[in-house]
Amino acid sequence: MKLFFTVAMLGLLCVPAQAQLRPKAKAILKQKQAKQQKQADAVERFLAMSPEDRRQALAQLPPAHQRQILQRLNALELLSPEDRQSLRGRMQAFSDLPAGHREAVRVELRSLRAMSNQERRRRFDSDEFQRIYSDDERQLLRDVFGQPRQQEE
Amino acid sequence: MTCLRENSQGAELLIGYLEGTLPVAERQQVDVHVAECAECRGLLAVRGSLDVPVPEVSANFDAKLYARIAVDEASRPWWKFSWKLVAPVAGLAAVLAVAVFVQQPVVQMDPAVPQDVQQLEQALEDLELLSAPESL
Repeated sequence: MKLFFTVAMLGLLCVPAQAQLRPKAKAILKQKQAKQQKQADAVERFLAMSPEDRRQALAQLPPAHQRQILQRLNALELLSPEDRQSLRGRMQAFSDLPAGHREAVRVELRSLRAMSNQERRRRFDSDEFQRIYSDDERQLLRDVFGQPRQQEE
Repeated sequence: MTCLRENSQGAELLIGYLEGTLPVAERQQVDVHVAECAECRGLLAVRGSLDVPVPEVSANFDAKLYARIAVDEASRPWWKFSWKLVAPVAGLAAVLAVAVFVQQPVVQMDPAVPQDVQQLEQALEDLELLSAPESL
């Protein structure tokens, strides 16, 4: 009887929880997509701030961490308008990729950065590279390293 | 290379490194970084300490263990046997705990750091990856 009571209680509590699960998952997914879209905006907002405002906004981070972010922002400011524009375009193309693909592209970019030019060319020409990435992803990866688009067969 | 503790991909790199699934180039980068970063060496050392072999036990270990359990059972005070009274209360507490748990809102990864700073960090890291190698 006690067991029945306990199971019934659990059942009553779990039914609304189950019903909430799907909308919650959708909300989390939407939240993640919105977050990715807002990342570029966050950079623009920080670039528009004065150095003092930037320091205040980052005040909660450890000093070394703050320095790293400020250095990256400074490096962006030093880019020529053309370079900044093309970087913005690549960021937009990157943001448009599905989340799982973005992670794969991040890993590939890190790996490509550690390679010599020759190794990179071999990687771009490899069957695996053609197989695992979509046209857009391959183009994005090539663009980063100034590699010309591969000719269509 | 950014410190594994500060890099948002640090955990991933560390796991890949320990599992031996990291590409050679990244593995070398981690090696170089670990050589000069005591904190990251510590992380790897903790993992290394988990690989200590389990000590061997005596042949009659089980018998001794059960004997000690039997002695312990015999000397247990009367109130420890009244689990039938405790079980329904514990069950109800568990049900309430589950109810509270499912009502919890989604928790952010690091509530101390404002969301826009987290977004900024990820974006800057992505921008660095997406920039031409010589430009940043």
